[in-house]
Amino acid sequence: MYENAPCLVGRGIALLDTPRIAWHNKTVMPKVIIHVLPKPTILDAQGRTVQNALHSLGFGGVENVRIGRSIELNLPESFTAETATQAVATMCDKLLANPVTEDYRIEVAA
Amino acid sequence: MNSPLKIGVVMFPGSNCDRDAACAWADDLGLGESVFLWHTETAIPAGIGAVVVPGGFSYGDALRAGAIACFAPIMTEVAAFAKDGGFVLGICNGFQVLCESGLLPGALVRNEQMRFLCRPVNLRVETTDSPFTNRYTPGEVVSIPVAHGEGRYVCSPETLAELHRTESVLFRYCEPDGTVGEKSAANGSQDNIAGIIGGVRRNILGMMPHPERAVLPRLGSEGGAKLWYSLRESLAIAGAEPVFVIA
Repeated sequence: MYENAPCLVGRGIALLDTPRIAWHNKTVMPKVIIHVLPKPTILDAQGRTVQNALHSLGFGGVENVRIGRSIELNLPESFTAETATQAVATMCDKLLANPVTEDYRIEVAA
Repeated sequence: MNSPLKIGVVMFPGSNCDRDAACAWADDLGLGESVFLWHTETAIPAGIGAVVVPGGFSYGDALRAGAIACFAPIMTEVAAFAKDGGFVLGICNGFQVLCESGLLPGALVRNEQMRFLCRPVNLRVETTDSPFTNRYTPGEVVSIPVAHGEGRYVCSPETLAELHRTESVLFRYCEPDGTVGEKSAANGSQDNIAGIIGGVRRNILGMMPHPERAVLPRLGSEGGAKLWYSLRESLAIAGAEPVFVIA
């Protein structure tokens, strides 16, 4: 399917670059998903606002809405699930989460 | 009076109060010279007595406000400068950067009512025992503008107790008469904290309000002017070696 797509690269438009890489890439890079959430002890203003909106929508029983972020990344294939978790924990401690206000959970997907 | 009266103002991509701070010091108040420190610089030039980490949206507030700026090359130098006792003043985004860097305790999160607050607020000067507030009188109420979306100060109960024990809370949001009520902090800041001081010599100040925007009557208030006069006096007294040692 990809081979039949019109090649635009020669005209300076590399529209299909990303699928081409995925197509030929036989190795699997460990994919990690990091879930960062505000600590329960910190008032999550955004979560509270959304909770109020859910109540307005009729979902009166909804509680403890907290809004964080999830971060996905791929690691070099040399990483195992265990070393990936260790490396990502260091990333979280140093940058991806603020230890004063946020908790994180690491999920190694592949 | 030949002491260093030159301040360095850090410029990150996205800083937008850098020129205001430089202008307040050098032009509006005429206290000395201001030089800019680009974020990629790897040294603070000799002769700079204080460093201002200005307000704005460094690196577009990517991830968290101030989180990326900590890793800019200039911040390694600012951290070393601060640890040596040099005066560092973080305003608004600068406060967020100093907290993210670990130079000051705690963190700044989204305002309680989810709104960007841009207006003058009343601040009570909690202590004049600091290089940044020695020209104020204790309990003085000043009007200084805030402009932030993430200015709610939070920290652990232990940190909060320590801040109070060491008289490290410099400014608190208050009512015009100086009383600090539950609603005085429009952003929901813990204990109405607007600015704190840290460092081995009480030489690092972080505050959300903008003292550089309140230095002349025609700016609406000159409540911030005494902060700059205080800093100038501290620089003049201290020379290269600050003397504000508090255990």
